[in-house]
Amino acid sequence: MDVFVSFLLAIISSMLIDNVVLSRFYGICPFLGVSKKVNSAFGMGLAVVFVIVLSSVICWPIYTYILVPANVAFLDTITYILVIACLVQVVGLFIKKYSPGLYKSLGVYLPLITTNCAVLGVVQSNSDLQLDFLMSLANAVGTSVGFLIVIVIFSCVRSRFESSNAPKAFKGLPIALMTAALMAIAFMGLKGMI
Amino acid sequence: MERIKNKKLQNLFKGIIKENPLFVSVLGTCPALATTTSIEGAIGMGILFSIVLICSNILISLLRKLISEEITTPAYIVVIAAFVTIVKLFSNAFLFELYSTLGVFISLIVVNCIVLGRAEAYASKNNVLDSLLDAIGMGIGYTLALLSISCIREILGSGMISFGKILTFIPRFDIPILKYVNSLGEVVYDYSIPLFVQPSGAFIVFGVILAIISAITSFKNTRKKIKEKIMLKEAK
Amino acid sequence: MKIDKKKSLHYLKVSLVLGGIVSISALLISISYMICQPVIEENEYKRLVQSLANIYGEDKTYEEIGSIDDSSYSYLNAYYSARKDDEIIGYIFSSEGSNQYGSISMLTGINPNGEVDKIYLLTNDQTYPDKIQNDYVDPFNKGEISLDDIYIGATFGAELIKNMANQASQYYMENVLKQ
Repeated sequence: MDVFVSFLLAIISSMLIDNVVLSRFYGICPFLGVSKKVNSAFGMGLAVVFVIVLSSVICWPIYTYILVPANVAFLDTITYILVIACLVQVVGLFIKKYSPGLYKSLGVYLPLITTNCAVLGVVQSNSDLQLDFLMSLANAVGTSVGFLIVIVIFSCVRSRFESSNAPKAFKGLPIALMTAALMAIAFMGLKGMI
Repeated sequence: MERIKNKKLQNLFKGIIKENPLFVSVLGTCPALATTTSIEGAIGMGILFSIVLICSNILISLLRKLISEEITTPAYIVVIAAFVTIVKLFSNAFLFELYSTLGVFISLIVVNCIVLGRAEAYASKNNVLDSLLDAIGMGIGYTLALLSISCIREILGSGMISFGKILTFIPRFDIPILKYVNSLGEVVYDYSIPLFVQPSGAFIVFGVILAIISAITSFKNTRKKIKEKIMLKEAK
Repeated sequence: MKIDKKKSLHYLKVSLVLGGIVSISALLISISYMICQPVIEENEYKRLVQSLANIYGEDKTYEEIGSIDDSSYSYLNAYYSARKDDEIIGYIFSSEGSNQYGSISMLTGINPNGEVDKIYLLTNDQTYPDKIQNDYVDPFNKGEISLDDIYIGATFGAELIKNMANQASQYYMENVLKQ
């Protein structure tokens, strides 16, 4: 019971309180690039959830049972990025075969998940902080669901900005960044919750 | 000879202003917002990034004839990840303060869009000297961009510029601008705005800088158009 | 047959190139590892001695006695002796533990009677780290409050520090003092 409660608390804390995009700055490139339409943002978020959870489930045993006993813990970065690249290719083939519509709408964004800082950031920080399996799984689930929430909210707001009357210099990316700043302040208010 | 020299210099300088990787083609923003809370951290991050970019560009450009179409992605990833691991080991040994401040963002240079982008777009098609100049230009441009964001954030956010905290080979001293703490530890005056060292401040500074750049670009464009119209009228 | 041979030659060349790249990278990484690893370990040892000096001062000599792998003392990692002119004036236990608010690694100084002398926090990743340092650790080190006065709060795990210090004292009483 204790373990379950701490698992849930860890998920909530990495989802809302120390939010991956607005507080830890991990997934900014796709956050600013993909979020013009709600549908593509939602699809991208789901794919990122899948990739992050699966890659941290695969990478934790590799780190604990292969790299550390062999005293080559400094090779973790190379191992993780190769695993993530292979995983993204496999997920791409999977989606192409079973749901061609989703594959078309994701388009060029699927290989972009490889260079998403959030994926490598979560896996690397799992091994840097020496978390055990349950905590790293909680970290992965919380981070990816947090990314999904924030990117969907941001795309909803941003799709309204396309037709608004922002000052000429601020049109496009700068006004989106101002919105992100306001969201960051809002999420900062959750800090003392746990 | 003059033309070739000019072209090479142009290659070097285009990465600094015209095609600045952070401000013009908005790439590599994750470390830009996270490591710029202090000027020293930004300089350190910029230097480590430039080292990885230069080394990987040289190696990929040396091997560009051997790497065929199918294995470009894993080959580039292996090369870049190898150099990032080497930089991590050296900074853990010799620059420990920088390593513990930047933390996981040194490993994130591997997935930095700039490094992969320059490898694919430039180093795989040009010879070693051009790739080297391009990498130096991009590295200087990225470092200057990080420096500009971190200057604003540190001066407005914590009030003083501290040296020697992270890059420990510089002697430790503070330059007080908006906040002055005397040697007894008392705060003499404090006009700093702590919002700017928070995450939201990073977004605000980045957005304002992008807005300023877009305003300058559109101003230049309208001046160009007006000049062209005047020239057309005079030709008539 | 001809097409097969061409294709297989092509695949052979591709895998050779990839293997060559991997071996070049492995060579470079192992060279830098051999250069850097002794420096990293030496720096770690220097930092350890420097942090041990926070408990009993810099003029003492510190020596590692052993590491603790006992699962009933789950927080403790290793312990060291502090000597002044060849006489042991105390023992230092290094421990680390975590709760759902973060992790703490600290040093506990124990005098030869088994009482907790001083606490020094090495790393503090809790949600409100400054509060733990200012409200609990500093007053305890100055002698203003006792170990039992440290209680759990709403957002910080001060109880974790108390448990780790008590475990160190318990280990000392049971294993070291009796020798």
